[in-house]
Amino acid sequence: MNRDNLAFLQIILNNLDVIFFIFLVFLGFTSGTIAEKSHYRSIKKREENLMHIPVVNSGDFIDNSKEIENVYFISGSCVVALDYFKMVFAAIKQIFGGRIQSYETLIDRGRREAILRLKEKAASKNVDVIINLRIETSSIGQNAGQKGGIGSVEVFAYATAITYKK
Amino acid sequence: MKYIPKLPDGDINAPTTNLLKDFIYFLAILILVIIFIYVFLGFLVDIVAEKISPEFEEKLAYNYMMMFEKKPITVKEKKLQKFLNDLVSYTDLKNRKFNARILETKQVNALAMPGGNIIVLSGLLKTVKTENQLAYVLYHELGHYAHKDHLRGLGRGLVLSLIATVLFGSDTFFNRTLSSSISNIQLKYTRSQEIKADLYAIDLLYKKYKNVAGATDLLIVFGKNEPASKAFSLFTTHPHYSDRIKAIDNYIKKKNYKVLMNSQIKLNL
Repeated sequence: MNRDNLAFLQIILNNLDVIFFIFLVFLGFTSGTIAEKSHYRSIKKREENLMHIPVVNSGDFIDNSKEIENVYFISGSCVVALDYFKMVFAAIKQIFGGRIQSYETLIDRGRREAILRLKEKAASKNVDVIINLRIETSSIGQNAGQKGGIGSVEVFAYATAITYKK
Repeated sequence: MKYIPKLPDGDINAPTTNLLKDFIYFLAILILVIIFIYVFLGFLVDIVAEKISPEFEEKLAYNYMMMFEKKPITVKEKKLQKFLNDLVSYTDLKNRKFNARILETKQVNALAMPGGNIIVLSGLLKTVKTENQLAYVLYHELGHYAHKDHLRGLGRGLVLSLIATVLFGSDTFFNRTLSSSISNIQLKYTRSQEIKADLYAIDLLYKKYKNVAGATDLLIVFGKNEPASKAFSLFTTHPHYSDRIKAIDNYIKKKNYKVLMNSQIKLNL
């Protein structure tokens, strides 16, 4: 190995952490974008399929002309992880202020996925209407509760499902 | 009340803006801001470094030297200290106290730490053959003290970690990454200082030995291991060795200093 190659190698080794950082950002961006796009495709398709089940967050949406047969508590939850690019993007945005778009899509995906899972459960029980829908969010994972890092976000959706007597 | 089934309102909560474009835009602004703060505070450090007293410097150095305080002084270090004291007596730094300590490592270098602590890496002691060569290296380090380079370096290092800590909190991955990426820019800063310290060392070497032989010996040895291309020298603290050797040779000619290769004194440590 000639001296130039050796010196080049040395520069790379000295700056390994910077290179690793750039690699992680790149990896996070590509894998995160691919995962997000395919998740949104799946969300949109399932939302169309389950559109027929009425969901409201109000409590008084019961058809009084029909007799209630069953009342269930149903829930759906979903955990979405941050990718490295989203985290770095948010860290930089937090200095300047403004919308953190990288988190917005993440939370949006979480909420819609949790509601979809709730609706999928409802569909399996032939539910007629879902009332009192509520959503809770919490950050979990390795860095949860620590300053400067959110591991992943959990979205929990819960509601009351009602079936009418046929 | 009639329920009208419909899909969620498009992507209102999930913006479809180009994140990468935004990312690069804000990253560029951030880098500009950091460079501005770094340069601005760097100038302040230069001004302050001139005014720091040796006593205050010792306080600053306290933490640095704690790892050495615990180790007992070896016989070799005692000899080195005696040699250093003798060297210092030829300089304008006579009123200051300098401590020589040896750090066991294969690397060939010596470091000027705050508080007059000169750390000689054991690899250097194995490489030097004559007293003159070692004297040159130590005078070079003393040159950094005379020019207050060590404080400038320390100050800039402090500025760096300050920026990183304020922006991202202490000891986070960002902090470490930022520090190491900016330290490459900082390295360039010390290049003119290295040559200045070289010339300072030549003057004193002549003052002590009436002969400047041995000055460039080590630099020539280092030069053999360095990359042939100058492009890489941007990433190293010390300027391209051939540049330094050239600067030293020109200076020796200009000052008409004698180079008596055979009259070097054998090192006895």
